[in-house]
Amino acid sequence: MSVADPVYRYRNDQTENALFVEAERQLNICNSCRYCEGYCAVYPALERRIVLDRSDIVHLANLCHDCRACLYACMYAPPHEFGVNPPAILAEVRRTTYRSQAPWFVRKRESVRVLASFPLAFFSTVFGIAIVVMLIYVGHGLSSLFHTLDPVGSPYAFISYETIITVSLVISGFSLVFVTAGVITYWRETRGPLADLFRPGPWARALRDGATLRNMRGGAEGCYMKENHASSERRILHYLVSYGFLLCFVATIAAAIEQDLFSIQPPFALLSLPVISGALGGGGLVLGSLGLLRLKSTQEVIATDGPMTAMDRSFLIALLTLGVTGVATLVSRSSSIYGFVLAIHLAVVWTCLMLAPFTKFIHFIYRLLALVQDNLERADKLAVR
Amino acid sequence: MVVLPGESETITKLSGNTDLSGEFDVVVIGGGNAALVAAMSARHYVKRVLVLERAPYEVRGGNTRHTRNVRCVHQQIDAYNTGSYLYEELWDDLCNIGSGPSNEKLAELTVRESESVPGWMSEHGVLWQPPLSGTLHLGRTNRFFLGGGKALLNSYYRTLSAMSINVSYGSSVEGFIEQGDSVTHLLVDIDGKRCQIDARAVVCASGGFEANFEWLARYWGDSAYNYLIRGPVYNDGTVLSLLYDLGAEPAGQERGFHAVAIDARSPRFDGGIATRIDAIPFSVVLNCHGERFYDEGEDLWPKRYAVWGTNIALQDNQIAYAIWDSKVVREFLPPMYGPSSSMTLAGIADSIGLDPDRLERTISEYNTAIVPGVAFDPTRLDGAHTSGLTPEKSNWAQPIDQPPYYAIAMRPGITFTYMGVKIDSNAKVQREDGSCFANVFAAGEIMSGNILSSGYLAGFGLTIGSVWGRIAGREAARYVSG
Repeated sequence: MSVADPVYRYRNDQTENALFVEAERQLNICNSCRYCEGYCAVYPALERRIVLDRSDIVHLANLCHDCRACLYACMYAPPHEFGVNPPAILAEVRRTTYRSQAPWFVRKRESVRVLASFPLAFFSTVFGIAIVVMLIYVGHGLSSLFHTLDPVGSPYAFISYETIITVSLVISGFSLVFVTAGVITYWRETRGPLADLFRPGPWARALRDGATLRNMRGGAEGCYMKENHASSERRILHYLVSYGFLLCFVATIAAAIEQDLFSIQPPFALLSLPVISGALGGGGLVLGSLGLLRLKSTQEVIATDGPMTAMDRSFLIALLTLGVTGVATLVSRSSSIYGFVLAIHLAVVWTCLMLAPFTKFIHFIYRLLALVQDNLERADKLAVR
Repeated sequence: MVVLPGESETITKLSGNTDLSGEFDVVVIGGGNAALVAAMSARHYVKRVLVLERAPYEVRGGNTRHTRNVRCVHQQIDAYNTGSYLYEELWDDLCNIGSGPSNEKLAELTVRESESVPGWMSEHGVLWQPPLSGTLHLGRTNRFFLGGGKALLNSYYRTLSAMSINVSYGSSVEGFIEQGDSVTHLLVDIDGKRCQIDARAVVCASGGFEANFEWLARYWGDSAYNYLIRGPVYNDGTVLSLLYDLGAEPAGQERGFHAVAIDARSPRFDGGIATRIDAIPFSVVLNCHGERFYDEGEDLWPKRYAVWGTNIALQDNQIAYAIWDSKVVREFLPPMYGPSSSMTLAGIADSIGLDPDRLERTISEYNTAIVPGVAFDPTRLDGAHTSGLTPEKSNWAQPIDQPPYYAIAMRPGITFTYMGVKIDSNAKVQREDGSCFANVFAAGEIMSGNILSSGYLAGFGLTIGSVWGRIAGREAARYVSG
């Protein structure tokens, strides 16, 4: 075959990564079959393409919400010799997206291992930051960790508002730079023109698709975490985690507004917006991440990619820790261990913020971008090529 | 108890502790659509129903694995059909294909009964999908199940389990024991172990014999060994041949089958839909002598793809080669294994083992025979044709002159066979003396020759299986209930 061959070049290009060659092989079988087009957005998007290149495969992988209905509906799934297994191969491709969009110093250093060993990275970072926070307390004497300070239940008795804000902004800025760089690189690769990223119609539809997790319905029955057993469990747990996370964010913003605009200082009343949304959000995070961890432990292994599952677990453990320490901070705020719990929670929050661009935290961003791209294609009703 | 020759171990219980001893009301042989429908239909009337599926669990379901839709009469437009499709229209469609209905009375019954099939399927767990881009051209007449045939099977098997119908996988029926005009016992091989199963009624829904090359060779000669089979290896007609041994009357033509052009590198069995080649209308197709032999642009591809299996089956060595150039590569899906390509026609000839001079001569004769001035339009019969060739190409004729050139070798891919057993309107299997077995029924491809002997109507195989599965199960149960 000619190397200059514009259409079938991919298959014989030895420099391409074997993963993409395999993904293209499987997706070509899917495109010749098309029986799965009723399940989710991936298959209609595949049908809009005749010849797949790397960027198409990356887009389809991130559009996949991993409901796994297609695997169990596939007559070519293993043990068939065609060995078609879209959820597993697309998960593997997604993993390369998360890796290749991560900052260069992570990417360069066996990033798979860094990402997969995230619980270790996570907990050691938490530990480090917690020490630093506690050192900040030294102003009050280290013994303050296990004493109540006035005003009781206020974090500012231990650490100043300015310190919290400054550290948070610095870490957010650091993460935002890498996430933005990742978004731009991803968009350039899968779509091209950055201007396409600013069309309100497709964005509105993408946000609706994302907010409802439409593509986690598997057509009708939900996700197949096991053969012959579809359910809405995974989608509902995702709602708990994502809306829980969102409520925690709301709690933080509400607290800032109460302080800065209304001069109401913590501790906030039990029936205040920061406390209610924080409690609900924390509860959602804890329940949702526990449920998803359980689901991951009972899932059928053939349907997924091992290292991706490791990333998922690490991410869920981080979310669980975030939720548990958050709720603990609220519950313990008038007790003598408040200072200690607060230090841990602040350390967890800052660690999550810092590690977000390197870990599964960013998965929703690429899914959302894929949904925007999908809605752009639907809006344009044009073949991509 | 009959002892089979060479037997070693016998089995009386399945792994799920299903007891195989004692009499079953209805035993269904087969594990595809017709078999499962028959089992559920029987279970509405009787208690003890057993399904004997020859394939292991992982590849259960026979040819149904590769199906996608069902063609039924419907009065209304709804979420899953884009318009009405009335009795008369389906009847006309049936009359216009191949040699038309084999037995008008049974064919009419099939069309009439088809109307209640989608509702019945939904009640038994089948999910549907609205017509999308890939299914739109059949969206009015055919109803598509969500996820295709294997998803349909999964739904049905789950319903079977909920209805307490026993399923035994890896179970091959190797003999019938007859008493008078009834079959009373089945000799079954279950994963290498022997078992005798007592049955009050038997439904044979075990498909055709397309995976049996020796059998195909009886009618097609040695060329049959060059065919590829699109469905599972298990459809070798064992039960059909047992029925013939018992004196069942054949129905349908010996050479009746459905075959399409598929990639010559496809697996010998079970390649299904993905291996088919859609390049033909945009190519020239040569036989192994480097000659064209059939009008590649005769009609729209969905109307013609089913003639190409037989076209190729009738060529020397049962092989043909589609050749196209870079102008048309985006007009159809690339073959799943990829074509061979070359910057020269000689290179192409070399890659597929044809004589380069002959190939170049055929292509150049074709190129010069194209009538100029007609615009190429892949979306309709564009009338871009040749003049002075035998055969002509009547549509989509464009010179093959823009390298790289592409080629792919194709073989006949056999989907199913039509020849089976003759039945009456209660799905009872008939004997050569004109009488019927008292308790042997048939449904699906094993009796499709009663309805059609040749030609192909998309989705109608599922209709036959569903209608006759329902009748066979019900009548078997009624016979048992007295």
